[in-house]
Amino acid sequence: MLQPDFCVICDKSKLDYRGCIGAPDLVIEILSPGNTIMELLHKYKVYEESGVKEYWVVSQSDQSILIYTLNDLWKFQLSKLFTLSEKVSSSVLPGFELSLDEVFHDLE
Amino acid sequence: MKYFTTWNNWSKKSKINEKRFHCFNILQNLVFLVMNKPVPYSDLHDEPVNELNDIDASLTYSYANYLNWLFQDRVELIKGKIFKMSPEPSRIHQKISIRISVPLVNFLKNRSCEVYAVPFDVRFPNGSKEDKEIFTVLQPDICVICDKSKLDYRGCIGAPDLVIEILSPGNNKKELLYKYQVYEEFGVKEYWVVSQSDQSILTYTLNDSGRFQPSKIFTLTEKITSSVIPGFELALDDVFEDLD
Repeated sequence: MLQPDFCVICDKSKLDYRGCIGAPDLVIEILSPGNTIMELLHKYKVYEESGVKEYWVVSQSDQSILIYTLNDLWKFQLSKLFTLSEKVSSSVLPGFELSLDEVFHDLE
Repeated sequence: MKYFTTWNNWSKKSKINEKRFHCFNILQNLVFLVMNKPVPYSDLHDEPVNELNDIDASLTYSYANYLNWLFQDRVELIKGKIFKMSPEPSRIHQKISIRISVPLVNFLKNRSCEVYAVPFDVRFPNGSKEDKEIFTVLQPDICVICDKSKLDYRGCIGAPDLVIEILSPGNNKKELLYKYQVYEEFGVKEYWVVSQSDQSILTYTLNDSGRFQPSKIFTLTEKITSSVIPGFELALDDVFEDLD
């Protein structure tokens, strides 16, 4: 059992009153000092094995976002590191766009 | 009569003065015109500049200009545009830099590749290798160059085989966007991005169509390998342990 920072579930049959059973379509984890290895290594493997279609890793310190997308062989495929002024889109949510300037703007 | 003569003389003198004034006016206008004439690009590079503030950041500059900048501030050029570097890298930044470059230097001893660390100029020529024709000059944190013909007494001319940038907390647009694009465009074979905050290293490898392929993000307990330096291994625990 994991508690992702954010998740998007498109198959409502996976939802019950306790939460979600099965892999969400999109999982977003926000890195913070101290939990880096946990997020990147352990959870990464769990998400890949369980078939999470897309996994976003957000670095608040570096102000960057990285996207893993599950390919046909059920392996996570890495995106480039997105940074300020760039926009990320999602294969799971067609048409959705997120500007990194808006995510990291005025955080202090 | 006397009065008239005097007047006449004065009038003559005045006319001469008027002519002189007129000539001066024309001259002044000419000087003014010359001063306002746009100075051709190639003429600019001979001028030494002592203050960063004296540089108009809206203009584009070449490596020839860059060589005449005598101020202490560290800058980089990307397609002619000037980018300020952080004044002094932090101690942690330097510690990470040494922990990566020392194993590289040791591994590459007696091999044809050389390792350089900042401050070290890498020029990216787009055709001509003349100073005034080069508009991109970067200072990668660490670079490995295997083709010695690219090295001269000023640094490296052409793409290194491996470039490593160490991110600092905060805005990393320069490393992740602008420099990323330059390294890809000019054919750097491998680009490592080191995050000190997240204790991870992401590697990009140039694929057959000349595009960067993100290959893997390495984190603690893992070992990084390189397609450019076969056999080289670096444990991330050794890079990030005990940093403070």
